[in-house]
Amino acid sequence: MNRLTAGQLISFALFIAIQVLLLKNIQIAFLEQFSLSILIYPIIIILLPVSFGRSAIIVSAFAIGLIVDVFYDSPGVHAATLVFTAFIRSIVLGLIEPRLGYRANDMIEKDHYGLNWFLSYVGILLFVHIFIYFSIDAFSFVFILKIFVNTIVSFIVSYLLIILYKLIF
Amino acid sequence: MSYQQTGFKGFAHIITFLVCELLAFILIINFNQTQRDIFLHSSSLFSGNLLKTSAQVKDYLSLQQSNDELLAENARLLNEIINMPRSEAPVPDAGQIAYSVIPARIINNNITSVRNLITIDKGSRDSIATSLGVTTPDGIVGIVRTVNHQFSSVISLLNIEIRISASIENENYFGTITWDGKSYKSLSLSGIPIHANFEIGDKVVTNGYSTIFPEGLLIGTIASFDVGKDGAFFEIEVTPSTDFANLDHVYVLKDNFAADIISLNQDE
Repeated sequence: MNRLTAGQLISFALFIAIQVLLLKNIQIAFLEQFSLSILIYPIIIILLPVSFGRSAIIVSAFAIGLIVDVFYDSPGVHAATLVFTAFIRSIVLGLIEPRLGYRANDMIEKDHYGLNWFLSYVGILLFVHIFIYFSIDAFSFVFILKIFVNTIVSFIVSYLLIILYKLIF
Repeated sequence: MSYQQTGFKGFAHIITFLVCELLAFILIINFNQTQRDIFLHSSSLFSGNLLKTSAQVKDYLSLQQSNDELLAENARLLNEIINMPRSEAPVPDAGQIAYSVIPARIINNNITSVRNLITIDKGSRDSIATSLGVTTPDGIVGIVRTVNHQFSSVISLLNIEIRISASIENENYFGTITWDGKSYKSLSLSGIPIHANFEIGDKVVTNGYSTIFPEGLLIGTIASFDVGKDGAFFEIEVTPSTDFANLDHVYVLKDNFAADIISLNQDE
C-alpha cells in the first residue's frame, strides 16, 4: 500500500530535474541585497501519501535534499531544509485534518479534500520550507530582513508556479 | 480513518528527524564557507565578548603608560626634526645634538590671568632647567621659569612679562612677541621695521637668536598690522597657533650648546 507507481517516481525525477537544471538558473537579485529563488521540489515531500511512515518521509527528504544540494553546490542546506519540512508535514497534517479524514494511500491531490484545503496545506508547508531555506542559507538572524523579503518574494513565485501546475495537470 | 489513528505512534520519526538534521548541519558547517564562518563566529561569540571586555579594561588601565610611550616617541621624532638642519652627519652623536626634547604633561594651566603660568610634571630630576623653551607641535607655549625636583613652572605666552624674539617667516627682520593681557587669541609683535614686506596670514616663527627656542618654531599667524606711533615700526597682531585653552602634552627643549653660547657672550 505504500508503493509509489513508476509514473510518480518519474514525475519526482522530473521535478528535481526542473529544479536543478532550470529553476536553479533563475535566481534574480533585486534591490542590491535581496534575491528571488524558485523552489518547487518540496512539493514531492508535501504531496506524498498520508500513509507513508514519518521516518520514511524524513529519510526520503534527506535524500532528495542531498540530490538538490549536489547541484546547488550547498552541501546540507537543502537537505536540512527538506528534512525540517518533512517533519513539520505530519504536524500540519494533524492540525488541518479534514472532518472526513485522509485517503491515506493516495498522493495528496487538489480535489481530495477541497481546493481551499489543498491551497492552504501546500501554502503552509512551502512557506515554512522557503523560510527555513533562507534562514539556513543566511545562517544568522542578523539578516532577518533579508530572510523575510527573500522568503516572501520567493514563496509567492514558487507557490504560483506549483498551483498553476497542479491546476493544469 | 483519522490521521491520529493511522498507526504512526511513538517518537521514532522524531529521532529520524534529529539524526537527519544533524547530518545535514554537519554537512553545512563542514562544506559551506559562509555558514562555517558564521557558526565558528557564533560559538565563540560569548567567550569572544568576554575577552574583548577584559582587553578593553586592560587597555584603559594601561592608557597612561601607552600615552607616555607615545609622548616619548614623539619627543624622539621631534628631536630629530629640530636637529636636522644643524647636523650634517646623518646620525649625530649624542654630544652633537643641539636640542634635547623632553616630553612633559601639563598639570596646571591658566589663561584668565594677565600673568598666566603653566605647571608641568617634569623637574630638575628630568634635567629641566630654567629658561628652557616649551612647545607643542602646533606652536610654542612658553619658557620655564622655576624648577623644583619634580615640577616646573612655565611662563605662558599669555603672560604680560614674556618677551620672545620672533621673525616673520622668510623675512630676516626680527621683532619681539609680547602679550597685552587682553585676549588669549591675540599676541603682539613689535619691532618689525616699516619697510618689511609681509601679508596678513604670514607665519610668525622663532628666530633662533636666543638659546631658548631653535629657529623656525611656529608662534602664530599675522591677524592684522598697523604703523606704530613713532612711524618706524609696525605694530602687528598675531593669532597664536597654540590653543592655550586645550593643552595636554608639551615638549621642553633643552639647548645642549647653551652653556657654550652664553660663556661666549660673557667673554665679550
